[in-house]
Amino acid sequence: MNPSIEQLEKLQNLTKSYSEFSRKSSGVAYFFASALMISGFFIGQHLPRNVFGAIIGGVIAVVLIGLWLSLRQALMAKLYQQFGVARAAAPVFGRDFVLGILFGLGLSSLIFWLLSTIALFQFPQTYLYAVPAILVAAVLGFWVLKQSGDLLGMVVFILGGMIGGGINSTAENISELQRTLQLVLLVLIPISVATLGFLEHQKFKKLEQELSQLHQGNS
Amino acid sequence: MTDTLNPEMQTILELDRVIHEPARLVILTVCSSAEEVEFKFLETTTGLSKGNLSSHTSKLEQAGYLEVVKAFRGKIPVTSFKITKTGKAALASYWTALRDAIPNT
Repeated sequence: MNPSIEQLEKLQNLTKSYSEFSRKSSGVAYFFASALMISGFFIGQHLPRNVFGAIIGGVIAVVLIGLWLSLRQALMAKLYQQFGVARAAAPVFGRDFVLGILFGLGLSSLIFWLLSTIALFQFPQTYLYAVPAILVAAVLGFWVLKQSGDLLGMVVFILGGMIGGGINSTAENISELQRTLQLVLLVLIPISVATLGFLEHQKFKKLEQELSQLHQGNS
Repeated sequence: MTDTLNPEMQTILELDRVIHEPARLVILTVCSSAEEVEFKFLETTTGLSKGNLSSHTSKLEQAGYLEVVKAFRGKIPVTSFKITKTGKAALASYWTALRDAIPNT
């Protein structure tokens, strides 16, 4: 073994790229997240607008997230960590940014919910879905931040489908055209994420090929 | 003896011998590109046998350049490696010294 500087630089780049995939498990996992997001969106539209509906919505949200986490774990083991785990360092700025947004959203939602429910004796139907969803995301966020920042983003994305579905079907004073535009937008977002997943997976396929060649060349 | 050598040659002779060994240089380079890497990944990238890899990582650990993390995934023991701050500094110094000695590297 007598590596040249070019070989060492190539190895560094390969490790950096692989460690990103190994940590994020982007690609196919984004595909599943998009499918679950759309499912959540349509489920959210048909849930009853009362406490029972909110509880059912919460349970379904947890099931959808659990399903995605299991799929992601399986994909990581079989695909994105097939050469062993190489954990990339999570970007500190991104982590703090996500955490800040999450806290801001969670706290303001909770205050709004408490004010309108207790002080004004009204029951805000849309926030009925948003509050537990954001709180679930916050709890999950604390758990996953050490592992992966973008995992939290995907969890919020899946939950967003259900919340979006609820908002779309309960929004008052909007025309049918506006409602349809909202619907199109909420379907276009997961399609974009799925496309991103596809492109990411293509990148991984190239990386997989290079690592396989390296492995074969070495052995 | 080194007093009579030119400065470039003297720099080469003063290179960190722990890192200068090619296998250890590759291991440290790979570890410096991620927060933590598993033994299996090092096996893939270095092509070293398990025994050789263990021997080199032990030397890097003894020098304080690598930290060994032992854990279990289910019932399977997993060994991972993290480059230390000393290791990062030593690798950076090594490259600086090498570039000083051989400017085209």
